[in-house]
Amino acid sequence: MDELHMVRALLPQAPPPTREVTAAARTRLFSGEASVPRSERSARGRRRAHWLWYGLGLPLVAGAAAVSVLLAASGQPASTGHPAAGGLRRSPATGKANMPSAQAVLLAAATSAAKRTPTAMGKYWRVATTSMDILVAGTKAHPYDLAELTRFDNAWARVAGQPLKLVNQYLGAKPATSRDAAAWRADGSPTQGRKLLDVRNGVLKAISQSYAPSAPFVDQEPSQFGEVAWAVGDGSPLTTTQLAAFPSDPAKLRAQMIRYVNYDYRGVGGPPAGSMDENLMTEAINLLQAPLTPAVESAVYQVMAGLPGSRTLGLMRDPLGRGGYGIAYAGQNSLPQGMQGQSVLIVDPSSGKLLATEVIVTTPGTGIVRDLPPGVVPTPGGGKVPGPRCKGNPPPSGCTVPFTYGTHHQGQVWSYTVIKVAAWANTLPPS
Amino acid sequence: MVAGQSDGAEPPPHEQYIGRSMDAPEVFAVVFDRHFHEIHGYVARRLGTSAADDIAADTFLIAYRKRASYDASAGSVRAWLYGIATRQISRHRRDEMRTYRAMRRAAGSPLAPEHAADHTELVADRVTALTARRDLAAALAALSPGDRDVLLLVALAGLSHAEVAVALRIPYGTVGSRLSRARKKLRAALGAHHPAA
Repeated sequence: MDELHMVRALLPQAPPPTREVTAAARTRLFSGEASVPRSERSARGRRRAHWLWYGLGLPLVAGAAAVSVLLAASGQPASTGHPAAGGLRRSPATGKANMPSAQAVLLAAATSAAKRTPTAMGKYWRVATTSMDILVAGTKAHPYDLAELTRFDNAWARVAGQPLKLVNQYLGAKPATSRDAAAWRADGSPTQGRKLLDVRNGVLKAISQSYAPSAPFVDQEPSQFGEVAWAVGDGSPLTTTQLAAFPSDPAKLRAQMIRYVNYDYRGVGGPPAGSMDENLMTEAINLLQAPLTPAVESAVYQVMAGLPGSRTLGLMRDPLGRGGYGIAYAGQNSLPQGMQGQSVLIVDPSSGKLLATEVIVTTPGTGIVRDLPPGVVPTPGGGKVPGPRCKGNPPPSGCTVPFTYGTHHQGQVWSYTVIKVAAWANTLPPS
Repeated sequence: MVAGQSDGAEPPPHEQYIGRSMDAPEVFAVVFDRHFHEIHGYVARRLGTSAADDIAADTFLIAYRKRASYDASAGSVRAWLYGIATRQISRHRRDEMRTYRAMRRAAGSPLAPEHAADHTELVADRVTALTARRDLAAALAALSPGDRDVLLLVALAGLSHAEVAVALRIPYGTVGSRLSRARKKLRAALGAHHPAA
């Protein structure tokens, strides 16, 4: 058995598509709907829901006045403290009358970025982030959400052949809010939980997942391209030479970003999932974590300001407690079945720094189980763990799997990524 | 583009259906029926069944839309479809990374007593297997997207080097170099777990 066999064993064959799925795909191919892939249609649906939720009719104050209000105010967010990961940190802050538009916030960030003094390049471009994902846990009687934290600390070598270092570490799971903590204690304060593994492959395994941090995973190897960032759209490695050649004219930069998004293995692939505007926002957020010149960084913010569908949420604190403006934008996010969320970025217009991105729940759901193979019955509140009887692909009908409810609510932070460091460094980060 | 003419009772070669479907869309149904399950299966192995339902359907929609750009002389329909599917999968790289991360995390956790009780005789083997799984998942996640695409098209889809070259539209030689680089990294990551070690 060689490593290719091991890959096949790691990613085993999945059950075939159901008759319904096959029939629906076949029908769609030859119906009038065929021109719009499902991913694009559902993205539009989600966006409508966001507009309903955020459709508060906030008066928009654009232009120079708003920018100065915002620059003055952004240092002192009104929200206090830093609630636990699952909490709501939105704040009405400056009041509706003074609420600047998303465009004004982003243009202010563009102005600040352009004024920044360029820093000298180091050996490594270091990007350190921490991400939070909600892990649904507990029983029917005591449902709760745990916030799982993972840290990434990447040092990309500027010169090909030099060692780069990529570190990621699971930092453990803790109750997301004080209410979740109470339910967790009522459940006996478990330090591990059962988690279904590889449900997707049709062979069920309920394994125990520790809520404790794990050892860091470290990848240190010579840099292949001397890349300091990656384009989101086509996955191209971006070197400092390439980044330095980026246009600082927003229209030209936008055109270049569209080329990245549209690059499709030289004509083989199809259009990107989601709208071009959504993809441009994703690319912009990615580029803001790369070593850009002040002029190009300013242009990225100007491209973002030109994208439709963004709204200000007011002053917010990011998960590290830093103040900035929250901007709800049209983006794709994957939440469990039945739930919908809003993508949000937090930017500090006075420094021109992107601080964090979040997904905030707009439509809470109840269930969490997805991708159950045919014949498997979810058991509310944690059922019998599938035993040897339930082996098979797909498992025989009647096999039960644990099923939890969670405590999702509107406004809950479902996931976030906070950018702690995006700067040049001359030493590799510790593991 | 092959015109797709066939004479008499001899069924036209499969690749020619695509050419004909430009004028007769229902002919594309043959392509769908022959390949949907296979493409779905490949996507499901990388991203899960639920994602595969959408991505496989989108792959055929895109293929249908782009059927005019299909060049039968360049390679098989199958390789062409895998190329489109791979491009769609690349839009879900974050989900794929999440899966590998979950595998690593899950494999690194201690076995639960009740779980072990179900498989007493297997526990020792499973601990070893789980460690190998974790290392393999980590190594797969650490591959560059291009290397991973080549590796999985070979390992999971069973495409030949020539077919991978067509699917990804990369030079034939690049397929070999990407594959050997990816395999080398996997072997290094597996270390003691590698069967050959």
